[in-house]
Amino acid sequence: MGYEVEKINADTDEREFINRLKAGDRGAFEQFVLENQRLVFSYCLSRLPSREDAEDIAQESFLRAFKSISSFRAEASLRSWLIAISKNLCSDFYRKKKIDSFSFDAFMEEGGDLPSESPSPFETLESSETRKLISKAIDNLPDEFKEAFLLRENFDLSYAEIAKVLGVREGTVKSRISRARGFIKSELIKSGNFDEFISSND
Amino acid sequence: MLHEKYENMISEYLDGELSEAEEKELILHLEGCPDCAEHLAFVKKLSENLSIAPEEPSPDFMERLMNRLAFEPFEEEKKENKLIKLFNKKSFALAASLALVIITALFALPRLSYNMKSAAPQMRAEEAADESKNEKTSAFDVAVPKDSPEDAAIDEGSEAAESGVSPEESLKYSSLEPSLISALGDILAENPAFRLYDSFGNMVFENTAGAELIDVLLSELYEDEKKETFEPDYELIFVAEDFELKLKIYTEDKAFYVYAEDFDKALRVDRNFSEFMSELFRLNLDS
Repeated sequence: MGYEVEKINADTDEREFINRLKAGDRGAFEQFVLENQRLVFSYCLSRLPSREDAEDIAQESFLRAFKSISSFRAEASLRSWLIAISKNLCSDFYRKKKIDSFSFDAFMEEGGDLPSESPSPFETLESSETRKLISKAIDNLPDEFKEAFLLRENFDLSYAEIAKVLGVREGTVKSRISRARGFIKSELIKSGNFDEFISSND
Repeated sequence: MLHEKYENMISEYLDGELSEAEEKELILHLEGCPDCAEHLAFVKKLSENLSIAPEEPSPDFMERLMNRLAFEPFEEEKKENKLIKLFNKKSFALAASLALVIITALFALPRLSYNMKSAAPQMRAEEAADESKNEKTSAFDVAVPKDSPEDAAIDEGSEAAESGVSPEESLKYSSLEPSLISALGDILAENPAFRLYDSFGNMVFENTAGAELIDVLLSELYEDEKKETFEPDYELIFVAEDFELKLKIYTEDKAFYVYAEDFDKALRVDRNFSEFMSELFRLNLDS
């Protein structure tokens, strides 16, 4: 996927980068934002009703990260920590506005409030019926399954990162994602759309 | 049939979470198991269809963000250049007393807000009354005698009736407002200059008629719990040569928060900050 995520393999490099962030190094923070802004913004966009809200919460996520970097323990990757911050802020957003939690189905129906030139995630799907079935199946997943599944599918987080974001064990993430996929598959089979979906080329 | 063990492994395989040995084991199994192979094809296809291209935030995302962050050395440097000393040495005492009044106001606000609300029925007088019942002490009692005879003349009867509080309470709280506002007003009328800086030290607003500001400000403030300790969006600074009072302003969509430095008291104004300031600006131009 296209998230320009910092690939720091050596622990020492990452530690040094975190130390620079903790020291209030402006350059390090700029790099941190540059590398993660698309991920954070896209994540917020997937959870919030408008681009404007997504920008606000994405900004707020970085501000909060900046303010609390001193308490970052480096047990998780920086970006999973960042997504965990965004996740909490998105939840706060709905708590504050007293809006029902987001509906993936509604989000997809409305194209997620994306401008028309942005392809919807389902644009490549064969038929609108299949598209609806899949988004409905995703929406019918229990929240904790849906969250793990979408963090994997939409945002390319590793199991370890998802585990940190959700505060669960890696094994739990693994089985939630697998079961989410199994559930979507069974819904397609039940509706008789599975064969069409599996045999189509794109 | 689909094998549960391999169903999980297929998921992990496509997510890049399998070890080399596990991968080998899975591939070997898939060769002889069409159901599991089909599951692999399904999961792969589903993932392809679900992956979204990352969205770009607006081009000025970084710039706006960095402007909201205060990097200490940078901030200090800019403030040194931008901050204009507005009072001369002689007016130090005046500046100090101004600060005292403002700080006093911050402590007094639970009561003040009570008064304001009881005077304005649309501001949910009853709720305010409940809140203020719990407030027994205030620094304001020291600063402004509550039994000042001239204040006692303020019409207690109608307010008390509207807000559902005893005439005695109403009288007491009513007596605070005019004295405080006029005290602030007098000081600011003589020394009306203050400026508003953003967190980088850039001046964003200059006030030339302080009395109105305080008037409006006080009529809309009420106490709120301390907000998170982010850098403020704006700082309102009263400046003297040897003295500086800093009020931190945190903005939200429909409200802003005011903090006096070193004080825990937070005040919330249920107004959009930009609108509020531009209204004041018009006010100043008119006056």
